[in-house]
Amino acid sequence: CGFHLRGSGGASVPEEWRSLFLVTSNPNSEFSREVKLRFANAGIEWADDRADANYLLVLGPERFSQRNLSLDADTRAAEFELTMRSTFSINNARGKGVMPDTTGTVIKQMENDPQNVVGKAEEIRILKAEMRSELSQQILRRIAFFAASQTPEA
Amino acid sequence: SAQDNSGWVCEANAEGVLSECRLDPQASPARLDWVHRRQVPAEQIDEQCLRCDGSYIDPLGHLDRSESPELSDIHASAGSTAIQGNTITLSDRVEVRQGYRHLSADSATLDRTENEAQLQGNIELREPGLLLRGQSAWFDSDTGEAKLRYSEYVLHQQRLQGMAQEVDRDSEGILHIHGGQLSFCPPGEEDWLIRADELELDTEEGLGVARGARIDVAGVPVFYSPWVQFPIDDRRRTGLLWPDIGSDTKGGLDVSVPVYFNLAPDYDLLYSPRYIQERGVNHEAKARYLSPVVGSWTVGGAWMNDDKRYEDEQPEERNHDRWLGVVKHNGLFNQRWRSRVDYSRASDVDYMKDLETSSLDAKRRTALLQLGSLDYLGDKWMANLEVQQFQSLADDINNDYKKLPQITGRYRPSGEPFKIDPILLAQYSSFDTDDERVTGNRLYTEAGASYPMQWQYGFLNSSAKYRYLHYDLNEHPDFEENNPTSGAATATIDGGLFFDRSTNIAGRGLLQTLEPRVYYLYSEYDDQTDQPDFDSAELTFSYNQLFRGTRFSGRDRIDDANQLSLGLTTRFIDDTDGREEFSASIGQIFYFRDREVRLDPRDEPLKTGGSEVAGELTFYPNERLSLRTSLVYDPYTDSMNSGSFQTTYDPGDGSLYNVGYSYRRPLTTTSNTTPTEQAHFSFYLPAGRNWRVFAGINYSVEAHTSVEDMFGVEYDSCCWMVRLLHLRYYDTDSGQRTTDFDDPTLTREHSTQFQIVLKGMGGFGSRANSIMKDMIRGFNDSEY
Repeated sequence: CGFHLRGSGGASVPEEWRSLFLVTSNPNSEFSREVKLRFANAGIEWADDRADANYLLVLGPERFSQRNLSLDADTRAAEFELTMRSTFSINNARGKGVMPDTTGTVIKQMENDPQNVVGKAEEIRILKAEMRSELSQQILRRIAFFAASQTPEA
Repeated sequence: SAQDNSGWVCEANAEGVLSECRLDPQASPARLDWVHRRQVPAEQIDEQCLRCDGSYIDPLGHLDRSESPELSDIHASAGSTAIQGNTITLSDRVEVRQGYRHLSADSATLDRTENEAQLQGNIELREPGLLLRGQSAWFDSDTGEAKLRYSEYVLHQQRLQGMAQEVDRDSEGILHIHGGQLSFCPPGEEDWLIRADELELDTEEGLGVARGARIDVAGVPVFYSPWVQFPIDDRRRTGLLWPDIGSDTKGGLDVSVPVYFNLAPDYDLLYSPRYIQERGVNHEAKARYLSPVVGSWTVGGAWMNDDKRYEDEQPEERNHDRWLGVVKHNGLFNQRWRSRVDYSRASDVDYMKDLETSSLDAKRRTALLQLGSLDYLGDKWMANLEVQQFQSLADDINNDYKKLPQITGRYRPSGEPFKIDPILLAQYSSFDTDDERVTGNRLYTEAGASYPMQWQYGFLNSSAKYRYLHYDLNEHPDFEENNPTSGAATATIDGGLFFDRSTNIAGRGLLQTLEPRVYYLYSEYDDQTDQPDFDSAELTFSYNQLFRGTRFSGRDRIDDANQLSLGLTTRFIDDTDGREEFSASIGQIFYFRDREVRLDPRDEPLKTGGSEVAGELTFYPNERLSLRTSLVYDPYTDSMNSGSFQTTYDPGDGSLYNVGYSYRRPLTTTSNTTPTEQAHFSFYLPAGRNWRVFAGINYSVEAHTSVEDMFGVEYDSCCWMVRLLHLRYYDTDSGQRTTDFDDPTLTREHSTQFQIVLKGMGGFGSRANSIMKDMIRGFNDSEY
């Protein structure tokens, strides 16, 4: 039905876009590490100095929020909805905007147990780590496709 | 003689001295640069312009403001000119240009030694962002100082206009307005305005000050103050904010008047005295401090002396003062040290229920977090020190275990493919509790290695580690052994492939992927029936669970496993921007051994040969519509264990619609056994140009009752907004367990909130606003 293994003719990050510098308030946070790792594994070289990079990835912090999705008969939360967002954009080496602000979003839900707040707090930690990873995957994909659309095919 | 081009009509006597000036109600708004929407260039039409039916168009708005006009030469022209010594008399339409400053009048007398001018008739003084009109004026071209009589003024960017007997512009650019008025409404449509003896407008600081001030709404005076300071843009400025006016069954009339103190660029204070009819006065305050060294700090709280209603309801309580303390901090030092404090403490379990009126989520909280945490973020290592406890907000729930403290060190994997990555983690925690449960210390360690392999078409990650757990428990009758230990070797293999194809749906190019994934998990069994449960819970089963190395949160259980997960994901990705428009995943775990390790050691092993089937589907066909659904189906009992469907439609015309449904059969380990089944509907909908109606309901399908619902209406004109909403919700007595929504101990609470905002003068947040955010998913108030 037309499927083929990726890499046999599929898109990858164009050469010019493989040199990036990360602009972020906390380069050592779990989220920044996750993004750096994913991009590196997709062939991107992170420059140590912004002067050496072709493009700058401006990465906003992870924004996490939690809301009650449903209530049980004690009018306590039966389920939580967890949302993680981050806004990112690409500037060229001179700092001029190339890709406008784009927001990636990951939403998850989980069951609550009001009698075990600590255990559920630990579960939220696990989910946050997974959400970070999905969010960074989204960011990589958006940027890879944007890069491909900006680079005329050889 | 009548003057055109001005809102003032004056009579001049024989000497040309103005007398008898009055405002002309017929004057065209165009004199103040007000342009009707039809004439506004398309690129300048915005939301505000539509609502106001026009906007101020500044003819000089494009000019460079960096060079002060005082440094520029003066170019003057006039129909006729007469020079006498140092005095130049210009008449018959005078035009003067000095840098970006434009000045025109019917006639003028210039003093060349003093660089001053006297102007008469139809005076127009323009600078980028400013228009002053007047009938007679004095002007100093060295300083830019000006005095205009019978004047009108416009500040284009602040969307502000007004008139005055006299306007003085000082050398700093501050406007001093004597005997005048000011409005953020369009000229001729002043639904509300401020009249004042003296007004001072400082655009640089974004600040207005009025003396002897009166606010008129629809021509009726509603407020008087001898002195008031207010913001004239969206910067936060010291002053009164718009009051929150409400009434509810938890306390009667409830009015809070926030006062904001902008103390310095890096710290501020918000104080809101709040009068609650049946209770008393609650003093609420919040101070913020932002520093590059110690990070951001918010210290807040509330205090009420002797809550009358609480005294009636809980006479057995000795103290009827109510209070709340909140400290929030986030810091990052040297990009390596990260600190966090999130601490809330309330006077009693009912504080949030009784006195937190802004957010329903906050009212429903069953525990308040009290956390302090410090991380070191190294390149290869990470360390964390944390203290955490919860204050229970329900009489039937014990305070949870406290971590006093927990210390964690871990190796940060490089994740580099085709390289062995060590796995190292050590965590020491000390658990304490106020009640009779066991307490003690716990050491958890894991060590091993992972080997990630990655290609463009797929990945294969293997890992092996040993997990070890050691307790040092205090004497407790339930625990014979004070030092239980357990350990198990764990191995995982995680592999996936990516298949792609290009496809075309409805004329749009899409990349479809097919991503099969296999995850094998093996872990030895070790008996853990003598171990406590300090911080563990069973994880919610979902698609993500298929690829997790454990089925428990926390560190108290090392689960036994010999299992294979199979999952399949397909995505449709927009081939121009990489946006995922559709994705669907389905998978299941196949177990090759019973799961003997249980959260509650008394529970029987789980024996099914496979897990529930988990599925997830998201559909984002465009930026406007989103749909998420998830399902958990148990093929062994042929039952749907959880299902959820959430959709949001935001057509971009200012309206918003949500439909949601969620069903969940609880885990066997949680205290509740009845499933929850809830539907959600909400909308926010324009009705005509200025009106909006909104409503939201969370409906319990199992009990056929509304759990909480809200409806409201708002009128939003160009320069003011008013909003009224009514909310109903269920409330339980803390400590009373209810089994279903028909339980008579459930009480139906009502709350009505009223909000009025005169736009242009700052203001942030409100109770109505937060309730709407709670009840209408995706609702975000526009700026005003």
